[in-house]
Amino acid sequence: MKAAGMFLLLTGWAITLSSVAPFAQGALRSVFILVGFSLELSGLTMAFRAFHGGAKARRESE
Amino acid sequence: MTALDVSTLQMCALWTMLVPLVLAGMALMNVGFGRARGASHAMVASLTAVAVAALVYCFCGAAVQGFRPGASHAAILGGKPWNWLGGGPLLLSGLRRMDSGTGIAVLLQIFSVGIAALIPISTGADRWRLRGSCLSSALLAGFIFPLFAHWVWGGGWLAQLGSNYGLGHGFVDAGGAGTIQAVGGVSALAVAWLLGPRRGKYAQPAMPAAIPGHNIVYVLFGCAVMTPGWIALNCAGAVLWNGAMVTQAPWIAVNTVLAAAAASLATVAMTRVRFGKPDASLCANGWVGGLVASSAVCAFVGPVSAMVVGLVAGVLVTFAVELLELRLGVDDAGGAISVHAVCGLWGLFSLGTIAWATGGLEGAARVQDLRFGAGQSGQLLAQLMGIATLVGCILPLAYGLNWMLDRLLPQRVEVRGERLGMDLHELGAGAYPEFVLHSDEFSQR
Repeated sequence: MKAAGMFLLLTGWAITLSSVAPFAQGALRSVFILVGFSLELSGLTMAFRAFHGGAKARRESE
Repeated sequence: MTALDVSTLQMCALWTMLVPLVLAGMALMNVGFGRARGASHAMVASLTAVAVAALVYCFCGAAVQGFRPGASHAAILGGKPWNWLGGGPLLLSGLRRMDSGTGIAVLLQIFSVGIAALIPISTGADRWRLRGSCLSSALLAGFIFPLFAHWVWGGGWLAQLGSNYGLGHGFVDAGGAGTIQAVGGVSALAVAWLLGPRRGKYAQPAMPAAIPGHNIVYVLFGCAVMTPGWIALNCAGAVLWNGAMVTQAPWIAVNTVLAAAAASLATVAMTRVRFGKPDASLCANGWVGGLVASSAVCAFVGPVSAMVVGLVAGVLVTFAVELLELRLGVDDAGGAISVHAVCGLWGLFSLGTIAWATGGLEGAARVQDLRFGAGQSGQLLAQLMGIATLVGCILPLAYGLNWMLDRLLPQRVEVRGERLGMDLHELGAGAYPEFVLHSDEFSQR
């Protein structure tokens, strides 16, 4: 879950970067940015959930 | 960095000498936000983090960052050069023969990397081993910070977005809202994830326990101490990295103070309305949040815009602290992630929106060379690229490096050490030997 979150963050970054590529012009550029940021947000959410679960497990073990 | 005349160099040198006040203020805040039984440890950790960061940065960080017009490594992608990595010599050996402006830039970077290294110390309060914080600071100073600093200040690909793709002036970050503060902030988030919450913080399932800082006066005094240093940091950064003129410095200072003031008052109002009374620690965080956000925009906006940027930063701090602690289960003792990461990112975003939108409206000539013209709407896209890089690249990088470090040498202190207190466990003596300290457990109110 944590690794998947980090992977999504990196993928989102790569897609956002692609928005400056020559083939991404006009509306396509906005699509790249939106998709990239959405993936980054999903990755962050996934990572937060995973780490929150870890904190819960720690609390229960205490 | 552009060639500078003698009087500009003198002013930059003076400003750079004032930047350690930021380090002093942040160290005081780190101490004040922690428990009494870890006060000495927090100060030692702050001092050692700055020391390690300075040495490692000079050993290899400066080589990774590179200083213009020095060597760098670039790849050609789509017919455009993408400058990824600096190619400087180790131990600053080649830089001594360069002009004194480069010397001042190196000194400013040593202090800047120290500031970035101090940010996670606050987050890891009362549970982060001294060994772990030193090694983590070394990773930050040796690779993470210089890499992003090269991309932004060393003529890297983020700075080239303007010349390569016509995106405004490329990614702009005059005072280090992204390069120093957000890099430190996302590293703090990685550290918070790895260390987990303090013992007793989430003991009850319904509500996290409040573990107040042991000396709020240190925290508030820290805010006051760091302010002149922050003004100097913003002035030096704007001149050295963005070619601002020395005559712009008074307005940069005005904008910095106004942003901090607006942010602090916003948190006073927000906490007064939401909780019935103003919260002292959040007010301090609001002040620093305003300073952080101002670092991005202070050289490019007028006073009213600076106040708006600060106001939003103050509101963001209040909500971000609550979101992280209550909803996301991140135990950030000093609110460093909210202050440095969230407000840093907000400052970068506001540069592409507020600074651009007001560019044609404010008639004074003080920022004429740097102001974004009406046709340069690509500035927002360049800023978004920088924000995406901080969240999507620097955060996983910081987490990955700290995760590997944690596998080799566990960074969190054992349960006994946490119960005993970091001072006695790691240093063998407390900060307040004549005081009777409170017991370990914090009960739910």
